[in-house]
Amino acid sequence: MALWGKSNEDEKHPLVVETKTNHTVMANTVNVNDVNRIAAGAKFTGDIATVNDIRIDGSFEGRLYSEARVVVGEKAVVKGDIFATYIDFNGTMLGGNFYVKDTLSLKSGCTVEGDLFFQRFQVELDAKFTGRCQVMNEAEFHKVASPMEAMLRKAQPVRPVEKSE
Amino acid sequence: MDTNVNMNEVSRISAGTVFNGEITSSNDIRIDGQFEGRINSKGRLVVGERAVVNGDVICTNVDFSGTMSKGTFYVMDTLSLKAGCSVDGDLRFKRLQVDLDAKINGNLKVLNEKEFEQVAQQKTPVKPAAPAQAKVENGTVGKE
Repeated sequence: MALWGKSNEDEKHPLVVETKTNHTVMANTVNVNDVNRIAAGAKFTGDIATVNDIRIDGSFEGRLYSEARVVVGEKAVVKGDIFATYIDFNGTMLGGNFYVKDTLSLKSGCTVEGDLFFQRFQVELDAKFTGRCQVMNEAEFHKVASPMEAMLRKAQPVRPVEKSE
Repeated sequence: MDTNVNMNEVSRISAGTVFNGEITSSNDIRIDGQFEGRINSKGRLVVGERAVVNGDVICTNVDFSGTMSKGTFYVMDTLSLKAGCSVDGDLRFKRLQVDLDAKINGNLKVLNEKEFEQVAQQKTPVKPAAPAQAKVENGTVGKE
């Protein structure tokens, strides 16, 4: 995951073999310019809806919807609901829910207070988590995320989105 | 954007993104998507050609190539309106640079530092995010 910069490179034990999943392949094809970023030192308050990835290293409060991947860095603080296809979470979540269409991954050192809804779930040792876990299917995801999907769709005629290949 | 800026420190709203709300940042911001609300940055704001920005923009430097249909710029140093941009809104700045083919509709006024500080300190009430309409109730989601 060199794409995300050094801060996210875990030291791998020599015996640990990294499994190749669909989303690591996907991440390699992402253009850096398409990635939304809330940098360290930045605070976003409000609603975000996007077809692209989001990387958070700063602070975010509100509702966030991504049709791709959300990566939350170690020092990031998040409050509110996050809807995404994939979430890699290293940061701190202070209340709110995760709704994940595919895989939710809680990384070592993260802190989460809130409920988790997902299709697939991965937790590393040393991830702190307080809340409920529940499996949800794709139809249920779309039902819950529909206000955010509407926000994205409504805006598209103004400036059509060219999805990069 | 300065070439010596670390891209990891730049906040970015990419194309294909809609953001409603408030951004407070000590670093640079680049917008290629749609933004509505208030930006308060101590760095440079760069707005791309296809971006749409509505609302108050309070920054040290602004490079604007996008579209603004409503709002006000408060720029402590240089406001640069690039060719092809379109602004319907007021411009307050210390220094202004306008390219040929930049469309401007609005009032222009020089801003002094004291006024800028006042605006930057101002806490405009952010429209609270509408509560999520679809709530997952206990037990309605899940496969048990």
